[in-house]
Amino acid sequence: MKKVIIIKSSQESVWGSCKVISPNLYAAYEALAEAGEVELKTYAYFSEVFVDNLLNGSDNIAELAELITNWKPDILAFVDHVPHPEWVLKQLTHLLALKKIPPVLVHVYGDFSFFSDDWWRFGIKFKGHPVKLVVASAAQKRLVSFFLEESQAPSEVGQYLFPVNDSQYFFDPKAREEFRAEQEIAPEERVILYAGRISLQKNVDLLVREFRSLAQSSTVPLRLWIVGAFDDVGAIFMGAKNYEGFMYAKIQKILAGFPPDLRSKVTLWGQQDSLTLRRLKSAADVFVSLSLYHDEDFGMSPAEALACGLPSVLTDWGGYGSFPGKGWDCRLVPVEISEFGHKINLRKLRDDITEIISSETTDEQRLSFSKAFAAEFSIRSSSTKLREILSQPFSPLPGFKWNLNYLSTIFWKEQRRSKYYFEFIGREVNANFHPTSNSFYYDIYRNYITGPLDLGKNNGKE
Amino acid sequence: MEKNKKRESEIVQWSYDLVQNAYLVKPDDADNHHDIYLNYLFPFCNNYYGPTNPLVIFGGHSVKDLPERPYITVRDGIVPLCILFRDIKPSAIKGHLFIHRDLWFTVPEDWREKVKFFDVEATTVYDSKNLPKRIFIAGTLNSTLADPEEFEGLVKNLCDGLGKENIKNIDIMAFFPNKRTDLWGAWEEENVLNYSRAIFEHLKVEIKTPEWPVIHSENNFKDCLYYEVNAGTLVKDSYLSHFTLSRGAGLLRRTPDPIDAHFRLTSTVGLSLYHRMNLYEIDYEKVTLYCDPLMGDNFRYYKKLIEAANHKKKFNFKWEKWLATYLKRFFKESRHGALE
Repeated sequence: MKKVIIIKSSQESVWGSCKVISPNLYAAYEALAEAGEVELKTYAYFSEVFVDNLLNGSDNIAELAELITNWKPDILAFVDHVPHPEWVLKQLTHLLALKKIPPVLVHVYGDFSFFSDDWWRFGIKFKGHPVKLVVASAAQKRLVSFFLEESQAPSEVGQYLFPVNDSQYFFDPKAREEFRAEQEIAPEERVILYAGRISLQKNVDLLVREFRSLAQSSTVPLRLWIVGAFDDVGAIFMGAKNYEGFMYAKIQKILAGFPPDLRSKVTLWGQQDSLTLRRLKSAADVFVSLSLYHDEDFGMSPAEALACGLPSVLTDWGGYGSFPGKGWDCRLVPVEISEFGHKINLRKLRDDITEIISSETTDEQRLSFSKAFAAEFSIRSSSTKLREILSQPFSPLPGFKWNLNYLSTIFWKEQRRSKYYFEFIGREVNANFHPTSNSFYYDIYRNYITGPLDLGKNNGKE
Repeated sequence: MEKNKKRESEIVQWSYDLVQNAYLVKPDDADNHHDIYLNYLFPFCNNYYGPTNPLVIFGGHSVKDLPERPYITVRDGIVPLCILFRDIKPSAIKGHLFIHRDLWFTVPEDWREKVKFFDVEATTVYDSKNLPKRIFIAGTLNSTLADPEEFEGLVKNLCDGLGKENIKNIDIMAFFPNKRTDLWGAWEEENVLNYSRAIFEHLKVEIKTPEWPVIHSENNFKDCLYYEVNAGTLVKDSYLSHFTLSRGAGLLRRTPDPIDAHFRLTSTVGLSLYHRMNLYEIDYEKVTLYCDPLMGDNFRYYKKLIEAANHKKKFNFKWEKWLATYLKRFFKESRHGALE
């Protein structure tokens, strides 16, 4: 039986999706432990960025060193997006020789590119140490492999999907009926749903504009529900920084141009708890997300919608590309990185939505979709994949290529200059990091596209 | 619309959003004095976006930088506003300025055509009958936002608004950045105790004090009352207020003021799902004539006194310390009896 020390943050993540992903991931490890397949111990690390819960976690790295020396674990597993393994292992090597540190497994999140600086240092210090990087999707695997030394890259990155909690998210026919009655939705009406942060790179404004176009040409009456908090992070890798309130103003400006009867068909729900989200996702008819977010390595919100059996139309971007499957209805809208920006195929978007809303998905179909998706993405089924990953041998980390250092130099330049962490990120547009072909951005983020690329390169796809 | 239907694809260009926001960014050539001002008032004077172009003018903008927009919301407090009205001619501004309605009495006669008013209203309002589950109270432990007297009065106002007995059962989170400089006089360590005493005496002792990165990363303030201990001297409409209200926080019920009757609501602009900005005009015929704080014997006498006391100036802010102190006192005394 393998002994695993799980290193997690002593504080809850500030990111909504990570608040869900980390506990689900931990639950997958616990499921393995309950089945007697691994032995677990946890070490809560206090990360210096968030200093609130100092007393709740351990900030004494000596405790971890002692645990490793006495318990002799087979694997150190990092399950949260912070602490970054570089922060912990750097301190640990002051107390233990590197060869005494067991093989390291890191669940890599979408913020790989954000933490490029830390990953670059990690690659220098731990090159040759047994390390397994486990990512959430095929797209993220391609992106991380792009930065790894080519010799061994593909085999070093294991693919493992973040688990969805299917006890919280499932199709609930009764909730659908009740919720639609509460909202006075006529049987023939179709509800398009977006759930997630309303952020610049999520392109919710484009969805709102397309809703107008769809509603005016559709033969069935339509509604649009937008669920989630407004977020003005902007497009940090593009140097596009929003100020608080910009996204709200942007959406309101579009809605102000709608005819009043159509405006009343759009509902902004704000942030909702998981119970209400399940009801909303059960009551809606199609989930749409046009996200082109820079760290969309998985897509927990679409995954939860699919777990509710909701037919979904998603951009072919990042982790979304891993969602189409045989037992449920998930369609991808082609995306290109063109000379002038990201190009989304609107024709395919309209055709897919129209096809879904024009043919009613029965409750039985929704239940079947929901079960089929859970069979592949639930915590229980994810444990099986996790078992395989833990049982495979760990190879020495080949190290990262110089391009990761280049990314960190471009991106962290502003950060280093700023007095206030997170305050003035990416205020400058860098000509080499813009969504045009033949730019560094293109080189990195073409890995987030599953479909044919405009330049027709193979780009490391499996 | 027809054209829209035929579009085969959309090119997403986020950098255009940066251009739209650009006017809010502090000009690169803003001098060091503005940096001091910004750091001193951080995070209360941080920028936020709104359809009425909210700005902290003394955060680095000079009038020549102001865009030629039909309206600009000036979030500054009494002191910067008075300096603006003193230094700038109304003809320099092409559109209208919105200032906070509590500062209506600072508008000189020649500025009246150019100036309109705003206030910020939350969807949720709390009082002793509708209590929040938690309170987020913010301010500074020096005279940046309120001097010790004002501070105690404002904290007591919160206590009276909700009821001291009720407050015992409500969770309180406080954010009081303590900067070791003081605008109105020498920095004294004892002041921190004075400020702290007011909080503990009028609220309670068990208070959580998270640091800024933790507050900044919180995205849900539902069931929370946001209360700012801010006398409005330097910044009136703060970023922290916008930040918490746009994440669902509510405000304390406002005490009615006799001046309210003379404001006419002209329009309302949504700032988030949970709060909005109301825009007003005032009936100047119903209120007393403006009394210029920068003219008259009192001012000249006061100026001489302060100049003599500050012969060796350590600071050389554009909003000079002596003027700020003077204005603060002037408005404290003249605010009463402003109505006819």
